[in-house]
Amino acid sequence: MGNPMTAAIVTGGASNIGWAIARRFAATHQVLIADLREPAEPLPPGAAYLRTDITDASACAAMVAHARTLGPVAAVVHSAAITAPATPIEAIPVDEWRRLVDVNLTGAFLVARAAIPALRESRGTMVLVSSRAARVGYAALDASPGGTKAHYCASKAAVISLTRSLAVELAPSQVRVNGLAPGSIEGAMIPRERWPALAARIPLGRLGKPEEIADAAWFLCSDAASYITGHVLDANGGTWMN
Amino acid sequence: MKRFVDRVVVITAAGRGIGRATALRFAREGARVYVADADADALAEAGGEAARSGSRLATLAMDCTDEASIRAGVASVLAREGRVDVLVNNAGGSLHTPYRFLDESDDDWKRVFDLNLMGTVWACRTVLPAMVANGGGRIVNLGSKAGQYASLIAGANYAAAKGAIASLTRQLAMEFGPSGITVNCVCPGVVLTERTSRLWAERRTPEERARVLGEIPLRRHATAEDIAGAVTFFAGDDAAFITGATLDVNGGQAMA
Repeated sequence: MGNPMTAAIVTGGASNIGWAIARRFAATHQVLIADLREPAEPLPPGAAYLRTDITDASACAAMVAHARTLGPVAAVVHSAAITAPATPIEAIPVDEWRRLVDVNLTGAFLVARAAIPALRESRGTMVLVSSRAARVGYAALDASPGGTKAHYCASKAAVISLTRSLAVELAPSQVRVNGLAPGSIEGAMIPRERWPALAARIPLGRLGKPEEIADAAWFLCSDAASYITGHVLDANGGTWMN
Repeated sequence: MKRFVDRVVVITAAGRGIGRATALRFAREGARVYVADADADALAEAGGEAARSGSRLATLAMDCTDEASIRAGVASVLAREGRVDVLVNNAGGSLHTPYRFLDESDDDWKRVFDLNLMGTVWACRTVLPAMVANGGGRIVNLGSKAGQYASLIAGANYAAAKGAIASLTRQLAMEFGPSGITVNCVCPGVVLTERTSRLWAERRTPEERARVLGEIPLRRHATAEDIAGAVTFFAGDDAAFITGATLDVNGGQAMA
């Protein structure tokens, strides 16, 4: 899958899971890292960075236009998302709810909409990063009943639904679209002091690494997944099994 | 790409079809593959196909519906290799039992459950102690779209057995995760092998067949190679944090 002449877009690619995905794809593609912030580390060879606000349709169009200058767009991995503090549902400010839905759901729609023509042309493939939160209704394994992050969960569940609609609409063009639902992953999102307690709740006995999510994204984009579309792949160490 | 250099892989009922394609894929990527099957001709053909492509398959005469035969086959691999890194439970099928539930006898249910579910149980029971002792391993079970949703060509016995394999997958994933063993399940849609092509032609009219194909978003049936790609993914390092998962390989025909 991919060759140095084809382009891959990784939204949210400057840090955490997105950064791992960008590094994995940089081995086989010209990667465009689209993020609000620049990566803290040097770009991998073959990668470019474009400041991109995925809630802005014209920015998404510019992102795809930039990627096209690198090569036919063979893969789009949409990883950009935000979260919010764990607050009981009745105390979530409506502006905060709207902000999460705007970034996590509408952003996914805008990225996909902008990328569709390029994906159709190259018979490319897209992966949308959802979350175990979409499956279970709480964001963290150790969430209290008063802090599920309902807006994060709902927005990520909507990404799964969007994934399926995209899969149905784009399949006749031989464009595959799949979802990826990471569980508890090492990184800045989860303070290190919580890792041991979380690991004790995970059948594999550990948190996942960002690189392991990148590996799963890479598989879904590869020819080995050529008959897989509309699927959501859970990479969570066995904490939620479908 | 050589992901499986020197890894010991056992695949049940791999003389033909999906199993053979998967075995060849593992072999091309460097694995030491043991192809288990009761059909000596199929084993010979699979071995010949591997040789022609410059790789090698070891063959195991094994009746995948018989626990003693499975135990003896796995024991011979363990004696030779000292370990099994990957077990692929590919044995399965509806044995041409009736499609209609009210036509299925108890014997139809027993034979299909023995081949699909108990064959998987017996192989897991035989291999897991060695995987635990070795500090880890990978088990990939073959479920089916039939088990997750429903089947257009096989009956309730087959759908129920495949559904049970998905449940077994989740339970084993939970129980053996702490031992570093992942257990996952690949759920193909219709793969038109020699055997399923016959069922497909017998049990669906040309109009029905055309309609179903038109309803699959990718507008084609799965190939054995499509399934091999998914099985080798679960068996490889790229799936290290994935366990208890079912992966639909059905062209978008049903999405979960």
